[in-house]
Amino acid sequence: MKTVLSRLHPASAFVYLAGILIMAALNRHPWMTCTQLLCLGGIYLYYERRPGKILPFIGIILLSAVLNGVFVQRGNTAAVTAAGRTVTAEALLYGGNAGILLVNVLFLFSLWNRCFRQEHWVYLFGSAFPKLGVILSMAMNLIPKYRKQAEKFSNVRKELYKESAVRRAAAVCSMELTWAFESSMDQLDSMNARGYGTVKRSHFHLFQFGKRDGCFMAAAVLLFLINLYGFWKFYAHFYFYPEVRWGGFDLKDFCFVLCMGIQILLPLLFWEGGKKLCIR
Amino acid sequence: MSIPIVLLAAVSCIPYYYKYEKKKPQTREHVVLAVMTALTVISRMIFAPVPGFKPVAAMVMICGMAFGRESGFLCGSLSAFVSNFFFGQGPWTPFQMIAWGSIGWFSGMLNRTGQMEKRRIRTAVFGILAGIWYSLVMNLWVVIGAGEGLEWIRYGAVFITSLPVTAEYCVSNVLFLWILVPGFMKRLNRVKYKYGFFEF
Repeated sequence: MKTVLSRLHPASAFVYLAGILIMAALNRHPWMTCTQLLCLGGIYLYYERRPGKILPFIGIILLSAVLNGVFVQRGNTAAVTAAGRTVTAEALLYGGNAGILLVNVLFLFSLWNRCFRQEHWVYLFGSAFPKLGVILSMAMNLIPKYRKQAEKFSNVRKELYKESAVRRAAAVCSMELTWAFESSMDQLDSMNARGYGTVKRSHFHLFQFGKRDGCFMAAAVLLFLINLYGFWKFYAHFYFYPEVRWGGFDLKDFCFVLCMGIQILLPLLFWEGGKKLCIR
Repeated sequence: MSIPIVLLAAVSCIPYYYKYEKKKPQTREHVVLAVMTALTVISRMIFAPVPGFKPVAAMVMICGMAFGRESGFLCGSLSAFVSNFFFGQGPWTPFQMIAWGSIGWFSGMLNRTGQMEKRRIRTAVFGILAGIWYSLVMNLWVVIGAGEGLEWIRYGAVFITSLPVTAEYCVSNVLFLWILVPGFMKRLNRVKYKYGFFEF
């Protein structure tokens, strides 16, 4: 899934991820949140490879349930009575549901950081704001360069002078600043010499919007719209207090749960098989 | 999590970016902004082991003071965005972008006549205010990230529990500004004078 998403055009992958984020943040209905939890948790486990990694997230859900149960006194069904306080089952369930929401978002961002790398962000940002995109990619390029240079300065100072670490840090900091600006002038000259900013220029990037990306984007948008309709029509209201009322599970619910599952696991349908590198 | 507020935070930088694009900035401005952003990100990475105690706000303020409010805003918001590639992107990124960007903007605004950099007390007071402002904006993220909506009581509770961290931000801002402003402003003013930046 990571390979599928990171090989897609950034716009398609962004639409897919943003759609899931919006659905994960909107939905309060337990069926929807649990479907999302299962799918996103499955993706997370697939990449982490170790079941133990999921324990902190279960801890978050349990903690949220217990905290809400202890502090909120609403609800009709008493689950536990201890030390004069009644913990209601509804409050526990509500807290658990809120915890699942938070965990969904965390899982989603772990997937997001896995498949959406610097070049994707630079490409997306640069196509919206060309000039700021240049600044962004320049800054990304400069960071490792400056770090290396700071190490060099520090090593030279160590050999040349006997001085305290604080003094050396101050000297390196000062030299780094001057050097950064002086060397950026070289960059400026070379950019000017190559005619940057004078005429409209083409630029190289790795991504091309192909048929596959179009299909993926269309599918992602369609599923998002279906789920949004479902949320708006059926799942926008779910009340835990004063008592939980389950509406039963019929065909309509099954369809929407399936849609939600497919929306999250959509990249699986675009799987190209194995680790074979495919060049379009 | 309340999606409208996160979206609002995410899109609130965009008008300013758009304005910058429309202005047709010169290549030298690009270079200076890229250098300042890279230095700010590095300064955050150096202090990565100490949570909360970061010179980022101080660096953004120096950029704003030296190169004007626009550069301050862009340096703050872009360095939040870039540095989160190393610290992890999330729904908190737009809030950091807004918080640091606005700090840079205000420092540029206050230093239009070049008075602030000469008076250390003023800079220190501004550092304290900036620490509180950053904390307030990030508390907003805490409140809406953990719950359904925005309620003033919960916001107040989060503000009170975050007071130690707020104090840490303020102390780090004042400390770094106290150390960095004289040397950095001298060098940046020299660079500005030597290469004729931002004087058209």
